[in-house]
Formats: sequence, structure tokens, C-alpha cells
Amino acid sequence: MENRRILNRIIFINIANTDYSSVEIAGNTCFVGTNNMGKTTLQRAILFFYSANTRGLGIASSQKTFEDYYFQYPNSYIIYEIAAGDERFHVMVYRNNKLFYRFVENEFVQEHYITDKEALLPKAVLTKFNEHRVNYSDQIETFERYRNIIYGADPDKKYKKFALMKGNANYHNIPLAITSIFLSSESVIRAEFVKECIANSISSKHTTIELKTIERQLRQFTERYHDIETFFRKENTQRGDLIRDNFSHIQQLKVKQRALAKELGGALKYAELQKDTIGTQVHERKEHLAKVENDFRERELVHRDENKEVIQEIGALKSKLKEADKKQKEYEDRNIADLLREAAEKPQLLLELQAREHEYATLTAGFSDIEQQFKTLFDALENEKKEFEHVLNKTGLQLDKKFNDDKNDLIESHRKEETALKERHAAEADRVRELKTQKELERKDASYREKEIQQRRYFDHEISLLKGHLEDLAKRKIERASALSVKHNNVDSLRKEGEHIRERNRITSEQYIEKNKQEAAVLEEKIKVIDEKLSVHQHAFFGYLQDNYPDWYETIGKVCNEEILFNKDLNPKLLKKGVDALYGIQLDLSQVKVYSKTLEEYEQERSATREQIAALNQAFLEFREAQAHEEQSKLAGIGKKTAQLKNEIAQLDYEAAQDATKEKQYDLDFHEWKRKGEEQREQELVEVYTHHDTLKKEIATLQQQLEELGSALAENIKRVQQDYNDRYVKLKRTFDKEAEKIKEQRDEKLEEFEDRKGKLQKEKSAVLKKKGIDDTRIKKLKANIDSIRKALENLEKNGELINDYRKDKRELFDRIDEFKRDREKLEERIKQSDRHFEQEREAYEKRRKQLQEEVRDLSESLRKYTEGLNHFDNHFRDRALYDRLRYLIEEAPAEYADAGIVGLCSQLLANDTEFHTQFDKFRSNIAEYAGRFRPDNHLNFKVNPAAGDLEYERFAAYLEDFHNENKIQISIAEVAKSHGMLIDAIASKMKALTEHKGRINKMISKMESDFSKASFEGSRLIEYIKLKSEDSENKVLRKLQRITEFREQNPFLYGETNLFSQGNKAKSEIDKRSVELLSDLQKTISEEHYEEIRVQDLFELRFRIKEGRNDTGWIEKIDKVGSTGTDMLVKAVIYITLLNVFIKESTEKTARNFSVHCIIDEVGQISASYLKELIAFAEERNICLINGLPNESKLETHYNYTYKFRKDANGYVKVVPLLTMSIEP
Amino acid sequence: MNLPKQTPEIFSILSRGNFISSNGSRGKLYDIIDHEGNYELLKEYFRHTGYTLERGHNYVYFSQSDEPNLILEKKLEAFSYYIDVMDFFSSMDTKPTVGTRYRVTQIAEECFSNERLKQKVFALSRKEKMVDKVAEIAGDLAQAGFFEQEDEDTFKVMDAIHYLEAVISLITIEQDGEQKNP
Repeated sequence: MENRRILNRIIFINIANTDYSSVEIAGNTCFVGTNNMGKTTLQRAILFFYSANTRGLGIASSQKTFEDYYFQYPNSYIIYEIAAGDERFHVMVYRNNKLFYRFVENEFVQEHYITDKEALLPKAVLTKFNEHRVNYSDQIETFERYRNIIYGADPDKKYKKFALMKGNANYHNIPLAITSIFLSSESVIRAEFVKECIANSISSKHTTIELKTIERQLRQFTERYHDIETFFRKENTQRGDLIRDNFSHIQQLKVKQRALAKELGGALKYAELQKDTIGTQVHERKEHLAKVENDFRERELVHRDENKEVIQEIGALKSKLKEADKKQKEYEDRNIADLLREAAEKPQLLLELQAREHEYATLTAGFSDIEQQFKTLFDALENEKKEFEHVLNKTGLQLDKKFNDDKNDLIESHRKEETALKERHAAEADRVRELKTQKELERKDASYREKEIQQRRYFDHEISLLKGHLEDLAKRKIERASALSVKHNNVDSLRKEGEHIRERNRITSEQYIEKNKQEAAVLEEKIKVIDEKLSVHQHAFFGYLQDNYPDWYETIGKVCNEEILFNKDLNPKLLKKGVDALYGIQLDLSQVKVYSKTLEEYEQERSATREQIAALNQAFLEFREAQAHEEQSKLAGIGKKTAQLKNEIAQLDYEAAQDATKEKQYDLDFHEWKRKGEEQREQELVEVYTHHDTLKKEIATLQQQLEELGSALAENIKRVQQDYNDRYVKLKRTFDKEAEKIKEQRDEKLEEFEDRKGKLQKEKSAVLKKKGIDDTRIKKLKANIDSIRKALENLEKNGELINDYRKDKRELFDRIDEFKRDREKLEERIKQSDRHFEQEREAYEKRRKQLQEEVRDLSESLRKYTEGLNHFDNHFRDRALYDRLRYLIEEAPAEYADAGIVGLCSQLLANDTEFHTQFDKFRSNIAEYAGRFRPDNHLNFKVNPAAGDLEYERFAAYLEDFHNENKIQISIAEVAKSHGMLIDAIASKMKALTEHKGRINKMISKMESDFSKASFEGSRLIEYIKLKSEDSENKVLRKLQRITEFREQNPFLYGETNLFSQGNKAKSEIDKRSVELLSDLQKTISEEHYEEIRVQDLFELRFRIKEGRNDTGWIEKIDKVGSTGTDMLVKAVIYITLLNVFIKESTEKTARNFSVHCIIDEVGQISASYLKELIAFAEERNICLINGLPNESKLETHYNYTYKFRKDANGYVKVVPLLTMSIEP
Repeated sequence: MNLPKQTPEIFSILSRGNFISSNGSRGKLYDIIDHEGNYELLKEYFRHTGYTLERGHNYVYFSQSDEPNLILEKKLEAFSYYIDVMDFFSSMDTKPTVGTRYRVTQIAEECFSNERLKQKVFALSRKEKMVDKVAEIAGDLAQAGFFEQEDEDTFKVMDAIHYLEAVISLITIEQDGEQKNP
């Protein structure tokens, strides 16, 4: 034990409430002091030497920090002096803001630090060292570095000399165990603590599984998985489609709205223009109509005036005829015929009277001369005869004259009548002819019109417009068909390209997987080989060498291959130590490389291989992701192009549908217009034909009329001639009758004269014979004269009447026919005038009707435009819709619109209503769709309702892009990658963790064997302390294990690019299971609130202690074993055992020439004998105990060093050694 | 067919008078109820407990045929309150359609700028601050299962809102005789 290394001394300079104290502790040490004297301060300082961690010293958070409490001054020092056999060096700890260390190659010399009772500042101390040529190290600035140096793990060789021991990478357990013992010596010993220590002794911190990270990754994964799952939900898919449909519908409505707005704008401007034009036209037509009406009224007045005169003339003629009738009747009543006849006989009566009077005078004159008398009588008779003949000749002449006059009158009248007839006929014939000519002209017009109608193209404007539209549509249809076929071809080629990319990727992926699998299999095989070696190494030659032949690597390791090293059947035996020969032959092996490897190297190789496998897995996942990304990016471009093409196709289809509807409509309209045109043509032709027929009939009628007129004229002439002939015959007959009558009268008179002459002859003869006188005759003459006179008187009395009659006859009665003819003529004139006027009226009516129709049509158009404009002003302009579309409406050029302004306004409003209805649905769908995702879902399906309608459209556009570019594939790939990586990471970490299980068991068995030595053989206080490990109860660990198992069962089936494909049922089940496992793990982690899974979580540890008759049974924590003293003792034993095991595990076997301190405070309740045994127990294990006692007792006698704590007059704590080197060691 | 393992969870939610909506955090439970023949199975199963499992558009709930008048009165009272609350939300710019997310602060802002809403919210809650008032109202709907609180400030409209809409649509306002014949 000469070269034993130990913390020899601890020196306080200006530390806490100590100005200076130096305490040697190179053995079991006991501190005695009442409370608050600084025992714990010193013990903590010793602990700080081992732990070099200001936080793990059991200082409560309410207390001052270690630095502040211990190092209150710049010249505060804790000096640890270490003994290495006879040599000494020390470590100075000082504070310059933070704590620093320096190793000094010299024992502690007070003068180096204190001059004139005053502690020097660190610089001054260094100066002192320099002065005294004391070597010292650089300033050690970190605790870690210090610990590495102290525990011999620092790679810098110059610090090797300052090492307390030669520890390995797990030396941390030693300070941990020392600290834990100090901190928990009075409390319960928990299996957890032991487990922690075991874990620390066999692993580094890197082996722990950080659950926080895993939980975060799991949460991210499950959230993302949930997002994608939500995305693929049937109803969401349907709603997504619905949203896209809605969106497209809304877009179409918008397009339609814009088109309608432009159309409306055009229609409004067109209406404004038309309103003025048509207004002017209406005004012109109305004026023209008014003029035509006025002209016609004037013409009507003229016609009436003309007729009025004729009617007056007719009236006059009628009154004359009436008067003639009346007078004729009056004359007839007064027997005018008799009176006339009597008047005609007046001259005869006068002659008769003269003759009779002469006869009477003769007869009465005297009878004188009868001869004379008779001569006279004869003369008288001859005179009378002559007179009578003269009268009769005169009458005859008069009669003749009258006859000739009457005849002339008759001829004149006939001629006049004939002329009148001819004139009348000529006029009528002319009129009829004129009419006929007119009708013929009209017929010609009708024929021309017929031809014109036959050739006319009705509704030419509308039809040509429609034709134009239809031609446009047909043209567009052809263009569209070719565009569609091009686009379809493009879509097809894009689809093929996509399939090609997928196929290529699939092949690449398969090749990659195959290669990866092979590489992994090779590595797995390598691990298997290492595992086999490691599993057998203890029982093979290798194990033997490890245990019994230090540095065998440099000798046997260079000449034995692994086959020999790991052979279990060699039965090695060490014959002679220190002989470096191979079967007696010495070899220089300095240039030969070492074949064998250390256990660590094998483990490292295995870990490295595992890492390679993990790297392969990682590479595989990354390849997958990269491939998915690449595929997606390529497919996204294709998808985008395809979607664009599809959109264009949809647009073209929509246009095609619209055009088809339009075409149908135009076609219908076209046929309708054509039908209307034909109908109108037919109607007009029928009209023309009817008119033609009418005209033909009228012409025929007129021809007939003409003929009739001719024949009527001939007949009338004939009738007039006949009438004339009749009248002439009648006149002749009357004349002849009168002439006959005169002749008869003459003959009668002549006969009478002859008779009378005869009679006179006879009388003369008689007178002469008788000469007598006869008075009878005189009387008879007298009576005859009287009757003649009376007749003449009557004639005289009626003379005026006859004269009147004659006048009337001359003026009225004889002109009755003339009057009647005149009347007829006038009546005919009126009729003719009326007919003529009627024609004019017809023409006027026609013109008026035409004008009225034109005005009506124009007014109707004007009304339509005005109504449209008014409707727009009253029902559209004030709406918000107008404001929205104003820029389109106002910018549109004037153009005619079939639908009209009212129709367009209605369509726009209907479109707007439809738009709003659709938009409401659209908004609801989006709200419901986005609502199904988490608020912060990674697919970014978020909508901010406050941002207005555009936000919803943005969302829909985003959704469309998302679908088109198949962005979900990126998410799926990412999720698949994180899924694979998570499982891989968990599995590899779990593997790394569970690899320690063997060492844990080994360690536990070591501990158990060590415990068996702690049975205090002398006192038999403790019968046994047993330890066993059980499977872990950690739920999280179990879940992790299940994932690891799953990973091993399905090395390549999980982590496919698509976790959501339903194609392969087996794979889908595996995916589902893996996701469930991860989800379960996440749930468990959040429920259990573990932060990490460490090595100690791999197993459960149970103690069993039998002390006297007390058997604890298998327990998890050692709470109370027997009395307080016993309890403390048992715990101290356990701690010391643990520390021992850890020291063994953490240091090299060949360099165990050091002692450490085990600080257990307050051991006053342990009995002296047990304490002695305990000290001995510790000492066997190279452990020095540092204990604290409140009071002096006999116990302190068992220690190598005992110190008492006192306070001096200045209040400084002084540590005073009570005994040096124990009496009873 | 076996009952789903979540049956106790479903029962404990529904028997407290809550809804299970497909778009809520308990959407998975809805999916389970909705899955193949589960609804009929559960309906039959719950029938023995006195509850009838009812299904609306994407939500389920329990109904009871015989309920004491006192409870019915309370329910009616609650409904009259919900109607006012629905009226309040329906008067907002963003209507309470399924999936809509409301932020309390945003609603409060709208209430400040809209006098009608302000009056309504004042009639509904006696809390002092506008934000508290809105939170109280939204919280009431969340309590009843018509909304779901996603975070401190955000509430989401559940599918169960259809139930409220359906009930409101069933209400017929009858004019009394006096009004008919003044």
C-alpha cells in the first residue's frame, strides 16, 4: 500500500466561517462537533473534491450557493492535498467569478498561500510558486476537465500524474455514489438509486432515450398522420370535390356575370343611342301622319262641298219635279184636258158665232130681196166657206207648224238625250276604264310584288345575324374540337409521362431496396458474429486472458487469431508468468499488428455496424423521401399542367355546352325566323294573290261594266231612239189625227156648205116659190148663237188657267224627263265622286295604318329601350351589384343585346342571387372542411373568416392546387419518413439500451456476491442481503419494446412511401398496426410523464435483507431495517458495497492502488462494535469512512483521525485534531 | 358482433347529456359509432339503460322518453337561452356553420363595432368585460356540446349545432287570439 493514492489533507483558507484550517483525512476520519459548527461544510468540501459539482452537494435552493458560501473572498482557497505514496501534490480551488482549479506539484505549504497571517491572492500565490520553483498546472476552468484529471480519464498525458485513480469512461459512478451516500445516508434506500448507479456504471448518458424528443416527434407524427387521415376521409374527399365544384361553378358564375355586365353595358349604350334615333324617327312619322290626316280631312271637306252643290242641284230638281207633279195633279183636278180641247175649238166657235150672227142678221134684215138675199146668202156661204177654208188652212198650217215644231223639239230632245247618254257613258266608261287601268296597274304591282315576295329574304338581318352566330359557333366548334384533341393528347402524354416516372421510380426503389436489404443483411450477419463472440467470450480463451493475463493484446493478441481466442475447448493454464515466448520461442512482435480486439472494440464494432444499419435504414428512408419529393415535384409539374389542361378542357367543354345550347337556341331561332319569314311570305303571297284575284275580278267587273256600259249606251240610245220614234209616231199620229180631223171637219163643213148651198138653193127656190117667211129658223139661229157665246164666255173665263197651264207645261211638265235625267246625272256624279273619294280614303287609310304601324313599332322599340333604361335606373343602379360591376358596365362598347336591358338586369340579379346562394354553400363547405382539420394542421387548411370572401376563394384555389399538384404525396412521404425514422430510432435506441442487460445482470450478481461478504461474520448482525432483478414495469418501455419487436418482425414492410394506400391489405394492416403502436406510445408517454427511458428503466431491482429475525422479503426500497442504528448500519453496508462495485467497474483492475472516502454523517447511533465492523468492512474495500458525530463518545476512537470543531474568539471555526492515528486501528 | 371497446367511454360522454360530433376531438368515437353496424348494436345495447341512442347529421346523443317535468322545464329554459345565443351568433358576419372557428377577441371586436350585437351580448351575459361576456356565451355552447374550445381563444362549431338548428326550426310562433282579432 506504499504507493496508495488518497486525498490526504484538506485545507480551508478563508472558507465560509473558517479563516484557516488544515485537516488530514488520509484514513477513517471522524468529525465531532455540535450543530452549526461546520461539520457538514467540511464534509461537503470533501465531497466537492470527488464530485466537482456545485449543484449536487445537497445545498438547498434557499441557501447561498456553494461559490458564494465557501468563496466569499478573492483570497478564499480550498486546497486538497493528495498523497501518492510518499509524494504529495495538491489542488488549489479558488474563485475568480467562477471556480478554477490548479494542480500544484508540491505538498501544501502554508507560506505559499499566507504571508503575515494574510492569505494571498491567487496571482500572488502563483508568484510564490514561481519563487519557490514549484510546478503547477494551467488553470483548469471546467469541472469536467478537473474530474477527468482526478479520475485519470483526461487524454492529456501531462495530467496523468495528478490522477487519483485510473478510471474508465464510467468513472462518473464513483463521484455519484459518494455523493448519493452523503446525500441519502439517512433516508430510504430506493431500488431506483441502485438502478441508477448500475446504469451509470455501464452506460453513458447517450444511451438514454429522451422521451420528450420522442414524444414531440410522435406528436408531430400523429398530428400529421391525423391530418392526412382527415384529408383522406371519405366525407372530406367528397366535400373537397364539392368545394372544387362549387369554386368552378362560382368562377363560371363570375365569368357569366362579367359577360352579362359587359352585355348590359353595351345594351345600355345602344339603348341610349337608339332612344335618340328612334325618338326622332317617331317624331318624324307622327308629323307625317298628322300631315296625311290633315290633307285627308281637307280633301274630305272639299269632297263634301262638291257634293253639297250637286245635292243642292238635285234638291232643286227634286223640288221642281215635285212641283210639276203637284201642279199636274191640280190641273188634272180642274179638267185641264177638256179645257184645252175647248180652247182649241174657240176659233171655230168664233167663226160659227160670226156666221150665225150674220145669218141671223141676214134673216132678220128683211126679206127684201130674196135674190139678193139669197145671193148674199150664197156669197156669205161662199165667204164662210172661204173663211172656213182659210181658217182651216190656217189651222192646218198651225197644225203643220206645230207638228214640225214638235218634231224638231223631239229631234232636238232626242239628240240632246242621245248626247247626254253618250256623254254620260263616255264619262262612266272613262271612269271605269281609268279604274280598270288603275286596277291593271295594281295587278301589275301585285305581280311585281309577288315576284318580289318570292325573291324577298324575310328577317334577313336577324337570319344573317343568326347565321353569322351559327357560323361563328361552327368555326369555334372546329377550333375547339382541334384544341380539345390537342389538349386530350397532351393530358394523355402527361399521364403517360407520370406513369413512366412512377414506374421508373418504382424500379429504382425496388433496386435500391434490394441493394439496401443485401447490405443490411451483411451487416446483420456481422453483428450476429460479434454477438456470438461476445456471448461466448467469458468461457473461451479470450475470457481467460482478460481475467488472468494483463496486456495480452500486445503479446498473445498478436499471434492468436479469433478462432483460437474464442475457442472454448482450449483449457488454458498459466504455467509461468512474465515469459514472453511462443512455445519457447521469443518473437519480436513490435511490428506485428494485433489480431484480437478488446471487448470494447467488439462492442464498438457492433455499435458501428448497428449504426451502419441505422444509416442504411436512414438512407433508405431518406431515399424514399427524396424519391417521393422528386416524384412529387415532377408529378406536381405534370399534375399542374394536367390540371391546367383539364381546366382548359373543362372550360372548353363548358364553352362547348354553352355553345351547344346557344347553337340549339340559334338554330331554333334561325328556324323560327325562317318559319316566320315563310309564314309572312305565305301570308303576304296570300294577300297578294287575294289582291291579285280581287283585282282580276275587279278588272273583269270593270270590263263587264264597260261592256255593260256600251250595251247600256246602245240600249239607251236604242231606247231613246225608240222613245223618239214612239213620240214621233205619237206626234205624227196626233198630227195625222188632227189633220184628219181638220180634213174631216173640212169635208164635213164642205159637205155642210154644199148642203147648205143646196138648201139655200132649195130655199131660194122655195121662197121664190112661196115668198113666204119662216121664223123657226131664226129662233134656232138665235139659240145657236147664244150657246156659242156661252161657250166662248166659258173659254174666256178659263183662259188664264189655260195660259198658266201652258206656261207650266212649257216650263215644268214638258221638262220632267229633263229634270229626271239631270237628277240622275247629278246623283251619278255624287256616286262617282263618292267612289273616287272612297278610293282616296282607302289609300289614306292604308297609308295612315302603315304610318301608325311604323309609329307603333318604333314607339314599341322606343318604349322597350326607355323602359329598359328606366328599369336600369330604378331597379339596378342603386344596387351594390352595380357598383361592383360598374367598371365593366361603363367600359363596354354599344352593342345590341337580344335579351334587352330588363332581361339582362334580371339575368344579372338572378346570377347574383345564384352566386350568393352558391357562395353561401361554398363558404359552409369550406368552413366544415377546414373545421375538420386541426387549427394548425400542417397541410395549411386554414381559413380566416374575418378576411372576407376572398379568403374562401384563396382557400379553394389552394385546395385545387393542392389536389392538382398532389401535394398530399409530400406530406405522406414526410410522414412515412418520420414514421420509419421514429420506429428506427426507437428500435435502435432500444437495442442499444437492452444491450446493457447482460452487464446489468452481471453487475447485480457482483453486488450480490459482495453483499454476501457483508454479513458481519463476527456479530452475525446481518444474515444476508440479497438482490435480484426483474422485468421492468415501465409502461413506456413496454411500448418501446413492442415497437422494437414490430420493427424486427417487419424490417422492410413498414415505412413505405405511402402509409395510406389501401391496395395491399397485408401492408395496410402492418401500417395500421405500426401507427397504432406509435399512437399508443405517445399516449403512454403523456400519461406516465416520464422524461426519458434510461438503462435503469430496463429492469426492476428487489432487495431482501434478513437481520436477526427480521426478514424484509423482496422489497423495492429499504426503509427501515431494525432499530435506527441497525438501519443506518445496513444502509452504510449497502452503500459501501455499491461504491466498491462501482469502483471496480469504473477503474482498471491493474491500477487499484487508491482509496476513496465515503462520507456518512451522523453515525452516532451505531454501536461501537458494529461501527468497528463497518470500518473494517470499508477498509477491506479500500474505502475510508468520514463520519460526523454530534458529541464526543467512545466511537471516535475507532477512526484514524478525529477532529473537534470549535469556534475561536473571532467566531472562526477551528478544527482541532483530538487524536492522531487511532489507538485501535 | 362485439361491442366496441370504447362503449364505456361513449356511454360516459353521452349519459352526461353531451353530444359526440364527427368534427370534434371525439371524432374517432363518432367514427366508431358510425362504423358498419355499430350504431344499431349500441342503440340496442343502450336501450336497456333507459337511454336511446339518437343520430343526427354527423352527431349522436342520448334521448330519454320519460323525463321529470322539472328537468324538462330546465331543458326548455336552457333552450330559450341557446336560441338567444344562436340569434347572437347568426347576427355576426360569420355565421355559425359547422366547422367555423370563432376567436373570442374577434367576436368582442365585432360586438364593439356593431351596436345590435352589443345589445344582444349585453342581454346574454352579465360579465363586465366584453371579452368575458363573449367567452361566457361561447363557453356555454361548448359546455352543451355545440361548440368545442380548441384553445384559450378559439371555439369551433360542432356538427351538433344541427341539433340546435333542428329544434329551433321546429318552433312555431303562434299568434294569440287577441292579436288575430284586435
